[in-house]
Amino acid sequence: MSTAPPVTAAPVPLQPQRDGAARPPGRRAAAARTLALRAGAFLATLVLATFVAFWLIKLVPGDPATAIAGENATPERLAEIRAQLGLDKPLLAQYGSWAAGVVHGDFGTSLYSGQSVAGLLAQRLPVTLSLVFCSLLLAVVVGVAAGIVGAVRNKRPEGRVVTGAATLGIAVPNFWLGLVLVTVFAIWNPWFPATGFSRAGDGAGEFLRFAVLPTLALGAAGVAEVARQLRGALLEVFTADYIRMARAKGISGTALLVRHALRNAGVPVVTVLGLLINRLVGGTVVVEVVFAIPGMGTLVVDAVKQRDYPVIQAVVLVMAVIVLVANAIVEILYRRIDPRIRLS
Amino acid sequence: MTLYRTTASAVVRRALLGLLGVALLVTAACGAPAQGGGTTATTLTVAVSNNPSSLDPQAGPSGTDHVSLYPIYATLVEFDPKTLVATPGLAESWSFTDPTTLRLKLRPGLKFSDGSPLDANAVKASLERYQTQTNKADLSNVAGVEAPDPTTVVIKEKTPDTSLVLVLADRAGMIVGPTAANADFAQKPVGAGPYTLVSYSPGDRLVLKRNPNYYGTPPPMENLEMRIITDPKAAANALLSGQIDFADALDANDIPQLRNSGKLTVESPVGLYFDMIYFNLAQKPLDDVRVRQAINLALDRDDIIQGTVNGQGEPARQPLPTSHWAYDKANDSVWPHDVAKAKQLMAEAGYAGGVTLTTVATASPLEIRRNEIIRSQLAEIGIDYKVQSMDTNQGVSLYFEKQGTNAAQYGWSGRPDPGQTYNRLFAQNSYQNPGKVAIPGLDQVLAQAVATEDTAQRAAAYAQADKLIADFAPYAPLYFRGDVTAYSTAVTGYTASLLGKPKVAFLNKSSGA
Amino acid sequence: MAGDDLVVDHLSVVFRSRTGTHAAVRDASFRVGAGRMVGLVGESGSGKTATGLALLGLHDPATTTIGGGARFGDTDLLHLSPAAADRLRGSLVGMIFQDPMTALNPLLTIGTQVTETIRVHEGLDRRSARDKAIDVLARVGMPDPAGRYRRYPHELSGGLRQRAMIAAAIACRPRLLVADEPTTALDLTIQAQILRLLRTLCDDEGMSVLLITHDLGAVGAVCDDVVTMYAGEVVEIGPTARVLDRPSHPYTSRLMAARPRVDGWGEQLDVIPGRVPSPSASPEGCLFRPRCREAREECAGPQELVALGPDRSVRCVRASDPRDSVVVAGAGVR
Ligand SMILES: Nc1ncnc2c1ncn2[C@@H]1O[C@H](COP(=O)(O)OP(=O)(O)OP(=O)(O)O)[C@@H](O)[C@H]1O
Ligand SMILES: [Mg+2]
Repeated sequence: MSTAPPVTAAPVPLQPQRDGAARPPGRRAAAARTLALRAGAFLATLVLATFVAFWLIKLVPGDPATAIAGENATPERLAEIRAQLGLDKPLLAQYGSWAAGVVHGDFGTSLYSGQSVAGLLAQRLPVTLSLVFCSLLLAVVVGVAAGIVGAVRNKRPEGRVVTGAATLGIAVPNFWLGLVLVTVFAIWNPWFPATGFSRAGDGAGEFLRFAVLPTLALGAAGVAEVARQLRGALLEVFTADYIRMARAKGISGTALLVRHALRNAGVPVVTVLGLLINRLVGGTVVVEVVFAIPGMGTLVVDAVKQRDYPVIQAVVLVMAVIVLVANAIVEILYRRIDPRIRLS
Repeated sequence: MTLYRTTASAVVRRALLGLLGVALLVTAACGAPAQGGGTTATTLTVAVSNNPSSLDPQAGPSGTDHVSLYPIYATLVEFDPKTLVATPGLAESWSFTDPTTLRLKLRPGLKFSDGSPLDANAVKASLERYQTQTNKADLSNVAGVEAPDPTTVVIKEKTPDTSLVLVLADRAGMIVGPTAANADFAQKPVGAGPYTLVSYSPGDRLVLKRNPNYYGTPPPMENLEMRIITDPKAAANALLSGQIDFADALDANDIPQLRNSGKLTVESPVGLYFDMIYFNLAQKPLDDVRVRQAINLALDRDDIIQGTVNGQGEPARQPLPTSHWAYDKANDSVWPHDVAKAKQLMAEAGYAGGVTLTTVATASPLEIRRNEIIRSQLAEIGIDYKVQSMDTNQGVSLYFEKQGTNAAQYGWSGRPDPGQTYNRLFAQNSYQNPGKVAIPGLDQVLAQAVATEDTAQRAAAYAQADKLIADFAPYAPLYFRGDVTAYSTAVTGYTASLLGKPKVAFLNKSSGA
Repeated sequence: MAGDDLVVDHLSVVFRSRTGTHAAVRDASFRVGAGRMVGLVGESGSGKTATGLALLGLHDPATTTIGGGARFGDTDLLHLSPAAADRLRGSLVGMIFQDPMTALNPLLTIGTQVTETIRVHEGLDRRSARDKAIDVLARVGMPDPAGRYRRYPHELSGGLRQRAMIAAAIACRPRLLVADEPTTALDLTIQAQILRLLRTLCDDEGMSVLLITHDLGAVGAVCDDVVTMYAGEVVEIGPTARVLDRPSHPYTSRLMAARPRVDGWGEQLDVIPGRVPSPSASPEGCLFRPRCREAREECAGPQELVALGPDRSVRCVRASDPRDSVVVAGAGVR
């Protein structure tokens, strides 16, 4: 674990000022420097991610011109479209003009539909974010509860159920689970809608009804992963000296489990959360297609089919930002939990 | 373990309760009243299998947009979906006053959905705008449009071409309203179709309501909701769960499940779309007509249909399906499955020892299955059929532009008028003919076929073209693909279109369901 | 502050596992007088920690069977309801452990770990608990207690950490403190400080201390009485001065011979030959017999803890033999 602060947060909340007076004068400057370094790394990651995406799509011959020209394509028309889109320019120049646009807040327009990419993102991003958020919430809430049951009731029926379910949950692919859920809970029993999505802003009831199955499909592996990690971590923590010491002081029940065991077991679990967020963001691509959800996942799938570069690029950029920000938050959390990892 | 079970049991109880709570929440959510899709008596919900590239018919390039465009826009000319014979639309009649002049008589008192008049000037404006937009190639033969009086439109052509009539049943004939000049027209389209757009969220749905200004019989349903569901499995699930009432472009593998539900009518109507092997006529070994003939004889089309689309298709031996008005019965006997004859032709062509044929195809499970079958059928006559599976855009560019392979395995989506199909596939200078090899006598026959309006005469010309094509074998048509379509048994009034682009505006749903 | 005695009476601790049972403590009886400090010594594996944990009810009942009795005053330490046990731990009996680095929760401040004892037992509000905790830190000799209150364990030195742990354990003035090798992980000079602190707590507050240790030197320096355990059995009990002066059990004298001498840096330890027998496979008779230089025939028979006087007992045949009761080889090192 690096000890530099994540770029998204000012170092102040990270570092409760234990003894401000004793703080060496150079420390604040050093902190600012690490912060700047971190911000640079963040930006570099974004540039790298989008450039690699750009380069990979271009690597494949064939281009949006054929998609745009449609079935009436003539070589002249194709050349015309290519020139119009700047596809005849060198790769770096193309990337450069795209990046310059982004810096000025201009994501361009979809080559396929002519809509503004920023507008598309504004429509799709909330859907995907709410799906990822629900799945993460599910993974944390249910995963933590299950992990506790699995550890405390280890080797007893409840614990075995948790362990078994977690092993299964990790192995099941999300699209398959999605199809099974739809078959059972939308077709056999018409309890939930088979496809589609309702925005959170349009009413909580409808939102929940539509979100339940995709959230389960997307989040199940996360639940299993969190439960398994937490159970393992707790079982290890239970044997720790400080648990015995706490019990010797008369601490028991919730205080013992939450303040002593869970907090310590939380450290590895938080690391898992970071990886989980990456997986969830990637998983939306599959789950949104299975449930016909109008989010970033279906957007990028269509965009790839249509070679809609500006859309692909924007989605890659946004997903990279989500992942980076989420991981920065996880790192803050990590530092919050464990005082041994601090800004130095 | 140092923790007593008793010590943490309160927390465990809470954790178990928490798990139960989540389960309850989920159950409560499912108790919430259902609304939307497929449940309201006045709303018909259909799935659209592709994101419309634009709701402006003149701007979008995609051949799959029509499903979304038809309800919004009325066309100058309509067509009988079963035969593709032109019928009156916004224009109640038309005629060629001379070989290059088409005169259309509009219905009186037409209005766009926003109430503005749809007269000859509006048609002229729409057609002229079309000539500046993405799809202008459709009207490249149009020299000018005139509006001598409010119900008369006169279109001048550069060369005689009667296929213009059916072109006016397609995108070009979808007359756009006066707001077309606005930048947000694709978001707020105005046409004269049976429905008018209420809201559009790209990638999600189009919500439409009856257009009170529609010229014809009003559509039976008050509201039409079109859900964009690109994944065929998701569309099948939406149908099975009753969320939607109609979907096409489904996966043939889902047919048994859809049928067994007992709630759905399932059909696989054959349209103009057919799969074929494109030949580069300038490259060896396809420059030899005997090899081309041998390939066509070696292919067992029924076998391919069975193996790839579960039997949902019709063998193709010509570019039109059997139900088309221009279909010639004589084609039935073209290219029977005859391996012995095919081998003999190969030997005559000097390839008795075998030859390699390179080709591109789209990388999809269905295509890969088909490739395997074709590969084994062609192996019987000594052809090593080497398929490169790749992304469609990439493959199209490799074969049609770079001429990087001998052949390509793609579909042809069909056109309302056969003239467009024959021309694009076989004319010497067509994009689809990368070798630019002329089929002797064909270009003249095709010109004749579009020089007259008389269907019998035109059919005769295409029959003649079919013979030339069968002799030259410039391609290997495989089969017309059935469009797997399913709809609720409560839905009536569906007639599949040969064009393969369903018209859903006049579907009726009985409220009992 | 007259208090109660701890009376351990035929205590046994048996671990059950898939492979069988394992008697870590057998038939152990001893007493810790009120306000006295008693050293519990023995080699590794002799059952000292098992004994200490049993007194606090910290064994997992799922895998451990505890027999015999242990009373502190009127309180039966072994037959408490879980809730009552939680109430008494930290308030009546406390325990500290060998390694303060691992026994303190790394994620909580020293303050939190002291206050939580106070809050759970005395139900004080946050502020008074804090004030009290700082007092306790001061009492265990923590320099700058208010500042250290906000520190995390990793920010403290080993000695201060051990003081913090002691503070957490004694914050509610338990009447009995089990100190399980509290100095093993510390430097020599710090060791002495901590021992002195424990002794002070004993003297000033009347707290009884059971000091579990390998180190007979430590016992000699601070303990009133000493209890020697071997392979789960108590083999000798007596006042420190007299036991160390004249051990009655050959094992005690060998332990004394084996300890490092304060004046002899680098000198070879006189390692006791042989190994502690596995408690599950203990033979009849004296368990030390296989390693004992004085072993004789009678040692194979059953051994009892025999009282040598009002406050001394020993489990050795020779104890009841007047010829041998006076001197045992290797004694008098002190
Ligand atoms: N939880 C347990 N399960 C099984 N056996 C155990 C357990 N705890 C201790 N033992 C065994 O019981 C015996 C006594 O252990 P105990 O920890 O009491 O020894 P000790 O005298 O404290 O030794 P040390 O000086 O090494 O701390 C040892 O053989 C040990 O292996
Ligand atoms: Mg021990």
